[in-house]
Amino acid sequence: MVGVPIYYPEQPEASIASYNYTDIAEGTGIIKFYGFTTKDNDSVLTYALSTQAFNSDTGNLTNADGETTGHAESKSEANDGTGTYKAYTAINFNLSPFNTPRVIRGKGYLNCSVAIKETDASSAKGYWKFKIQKVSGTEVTDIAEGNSMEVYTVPAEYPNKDIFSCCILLSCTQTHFKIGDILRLSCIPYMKWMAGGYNSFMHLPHQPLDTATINFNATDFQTKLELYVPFKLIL
Amino acid sequence: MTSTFCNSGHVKLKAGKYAEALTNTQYEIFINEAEDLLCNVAKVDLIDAYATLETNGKKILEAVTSSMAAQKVISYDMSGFSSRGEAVQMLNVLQDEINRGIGLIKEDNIKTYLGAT
Repeated sequence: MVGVPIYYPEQPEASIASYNYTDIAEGTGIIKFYGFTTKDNDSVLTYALSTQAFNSDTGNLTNADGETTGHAESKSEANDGTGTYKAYTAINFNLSPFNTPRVIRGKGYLNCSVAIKETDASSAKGYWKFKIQKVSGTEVTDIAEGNSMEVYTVPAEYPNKDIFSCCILLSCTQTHFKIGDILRLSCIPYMKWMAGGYNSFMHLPHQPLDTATINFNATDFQTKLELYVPFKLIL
Repeated sequence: MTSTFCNSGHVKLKAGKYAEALTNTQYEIFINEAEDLLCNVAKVDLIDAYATLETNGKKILEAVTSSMAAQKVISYDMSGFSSRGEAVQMLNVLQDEINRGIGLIKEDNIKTYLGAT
């Protein structure tokens, strides 16, 4: 077989690449990321992804309804009374921009807990929609998406919260990331009002150390949010 | 600015899916440079004579011009490729096509056949 003539020889790499043996043997290239909160001052919160299990910022965040939520647990706005499923403000966990080109493809998974909680005698249903996205400048592309189980509150059981553990399949279409592109996990709370008051909220813990957050005791429900992303191995 | 031997679509196809997307003006700069170089290689104003050339000859000009322009597009920004090696391999594939095409354009009997005299 005749190869392509070499007019331009490839420059040797300036660094020594090393690969995880398990990744190569399995051939999946799965990398686990934790979602967490970081803060640079009292008003600016940033949601981020990292392979390192940081202790998520544990400062408190007071919502419009006066209830305090720890930074390691995100909370949606209150249900506004819409009787059909409606998306509320998303929480976007961003990875640092890539410094080398990467390709994502295959089956990813999200392992986390979700909840809905009422602070008055209300009834609402909700779920979280999770999306893996590529952010390239101002362009955002969905790579995979999946929904959590539906959780709900009922007035008769006030004060009530409904919690589930989730392992969600996120099948990723093959997507190329160039240098500077960002991998994002977008978490969108969906709720619909059923009856009673409006103060139902969707909760999502993200404490990489798996310690208790405001509404999750960590004994029964994990508080870490783990995202498993399949990267193409380029050897 | 206009291009004669090929258009930006040919260049994008050869530069590959991971190459940086440029503006049409930028593609035409690279195409025009390649077109002028081919005129000099043939020692004939191929742009003026283009309408009278054999169809087969036009394809050679299209192939060489788009390959030369694609090399410049790849070189413009290699960060989108999976690896530097992948980009360099594409440069080599394109260079091979350029060398073959230029060899033909230089030959007098081929030029006569193409009507490039």
